Amino acid sequence: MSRRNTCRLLGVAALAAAPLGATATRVTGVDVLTRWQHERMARLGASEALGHSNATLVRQMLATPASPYSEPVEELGFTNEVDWAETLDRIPGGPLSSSDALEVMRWDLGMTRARPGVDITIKSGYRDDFAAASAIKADIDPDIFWHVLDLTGYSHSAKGATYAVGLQILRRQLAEETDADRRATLSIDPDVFARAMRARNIDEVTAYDLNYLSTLVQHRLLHWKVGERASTGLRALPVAYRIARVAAAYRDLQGYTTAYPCQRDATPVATYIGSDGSDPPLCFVAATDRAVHRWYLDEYRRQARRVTPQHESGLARFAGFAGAILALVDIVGMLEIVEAVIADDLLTAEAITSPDAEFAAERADLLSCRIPE
Amino acid sequence: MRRVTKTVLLTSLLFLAAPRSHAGAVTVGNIGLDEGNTAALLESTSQYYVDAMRTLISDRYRDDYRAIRWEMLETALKEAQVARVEYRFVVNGETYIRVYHALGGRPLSAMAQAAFGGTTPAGTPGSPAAPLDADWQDATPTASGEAIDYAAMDAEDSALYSGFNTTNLRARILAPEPSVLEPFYVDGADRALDPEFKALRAIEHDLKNKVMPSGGTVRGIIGGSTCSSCRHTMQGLAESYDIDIHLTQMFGTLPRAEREALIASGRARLRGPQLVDNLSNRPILARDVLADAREQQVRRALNPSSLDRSFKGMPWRPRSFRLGPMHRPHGIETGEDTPTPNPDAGELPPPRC
Repeated sequence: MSRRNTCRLLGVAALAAAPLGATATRVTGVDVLTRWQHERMARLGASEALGHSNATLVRQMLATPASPYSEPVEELGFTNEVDWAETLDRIPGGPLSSSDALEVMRWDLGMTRARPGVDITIKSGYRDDFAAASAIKADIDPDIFWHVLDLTGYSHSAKGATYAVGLQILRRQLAEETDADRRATLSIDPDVFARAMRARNIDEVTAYDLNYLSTLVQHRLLHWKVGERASTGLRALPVAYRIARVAAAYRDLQGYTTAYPCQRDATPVATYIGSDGSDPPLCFVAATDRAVHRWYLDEYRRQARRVTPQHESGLARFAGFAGAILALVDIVGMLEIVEAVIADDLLTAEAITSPDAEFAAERADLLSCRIPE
Repeated sequence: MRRVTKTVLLTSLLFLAAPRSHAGAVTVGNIGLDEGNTAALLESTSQYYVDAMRTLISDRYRDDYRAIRWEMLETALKEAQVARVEYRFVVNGETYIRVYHALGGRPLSAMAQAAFGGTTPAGTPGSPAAPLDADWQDATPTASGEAIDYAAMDAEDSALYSGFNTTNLRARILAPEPSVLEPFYVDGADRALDPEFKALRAIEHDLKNKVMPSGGTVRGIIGGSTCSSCRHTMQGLAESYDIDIHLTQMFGTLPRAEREALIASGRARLRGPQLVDNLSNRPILARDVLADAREQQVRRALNPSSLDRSFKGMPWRPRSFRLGPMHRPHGIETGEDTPTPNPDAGELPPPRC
């Protein structure tokens, strides 16, 4: 073990005395954001209920929204509104305390961090506790974590992160359904998992397997389904943030040419100085999921520009499917998009009207990238 | 909660008496609750057709905006059943899988033609009290001659589709040829237009043309149920090519006892006729989940109000969160190295992205 890692482990040991669950939540089975949006749209209509922008809501919830290391705001103005009280009372699976509901919202909107021993309990298998904290928050088992890195290398680790999440989703399904006939009926394919885990390089992962895993991930990015329990006992992170966290763990393992961006106590070495292009590397464990997500989008593009896979190679195939996922990961960081997805679900459930959903969609349209015809 | 799984094994006496050393079996698994990946995979299949329909309308009907026609088209597209059928085979120890995607009914161009051509129908196709207008309904083929036209039409429609390749293939309507899957009619409808039959015909076609070897296995998912007569026909395919066929069909209801047990346990409740999750309020049957996802796909791509904008000289503006072929996010092609805007700090993405 390197001296640097030894020092950091000592720091983590010191952190272990800190209270656990500082920003993590174990509340599962509830979807606060959907219920809150439902209540607001029912009372105010779409144009007023969705009158806030991503920035205005985040400004209420994060103390320093422009900083990747922002603390959450404890006292929030909207919790005094009637819609919030209605949300707490009426939420299926509730009633819920206001603090629990806020914890859930912060978690689902990526406003929490991954400090070892503070937010995340470290377990073995990841060789580095800071990388472990990100990988564990993403709920990726060590064998999948390392295998995908073996397949992609650090050069394509941002793409690899999407497949690590896909494989983990499939592993969970396989664990929950063990009957072979039933698996066939449900299209839970153990062969995909076995083949992908057996592959020695990315050329050995077939287009079928990539497509299958990509579809599993895309489906979860397309639909707002939150509230599951992760294997850690914590609330499962939304898939886009899981992908970003895995990529962050890979980046930490790759090492830095300059100083490591975190102190031993999981605080950032450098102070954040603004989005002027000269930002120092992120201390991922101290950063919010939202900030890690933004870093991920940039890192993906950096990696894509650095190495152009040859046409028809396994890597090109892999890049193609990962690109489809990225287009979805790209946009979910914005609340307007999340709200449009939720509105689509609410409309289908006949909980809101078509014009309300259309309003949400219009607003999201203005922000998302158009697909060229 | 105990899941009720019903698996039907159809092995006819004829099959038992057949001279072959072994022959395939047809098994049909039923799915009620949304478990596993059937809805996700069929959602992906459906997206190919929604995208193709958008291309078709953009090419041929840009100026034909009449809301009622768009509603008819939307209804037809989201209600046409989808199927995804895989053929797995081994060559030199390597497993290969070809995935055949199919949409039930007529070719997309015929579907659009029926919606936009002729006079406006008196009743909406979604109303149970008002049967489909004759113009709309008469396109259902009842004779092999019409099927030939549909085969040609469907072949021409190939240009509309994107995303299909050597792994993911579109199962077209094929021209009549000697086949163990003879077209047959149930209640006046040509079952050859059922999506699972389009897919199985395509598989048979490729087997006959030695595109792939016989002796493999077929695994399919249908976004609805298959008719019992159809299973007997599938048995012929299984026997002729030594293939085992396993199909998953989605039912729109659960057995009464299972449904009541779910409600009694507090996991589910009825919202109208639909069984929904008590916590999330979302449908819990796979068929409903798929129907909702397809409705969303159609609404995002073909909603009349968003289409209206496209007729004013503006480009189409489908939302980006969807399956299927995607654009690459901005910056990759251009080589730009500008950091992603921080929407939390009020920075918005550039309008050209």
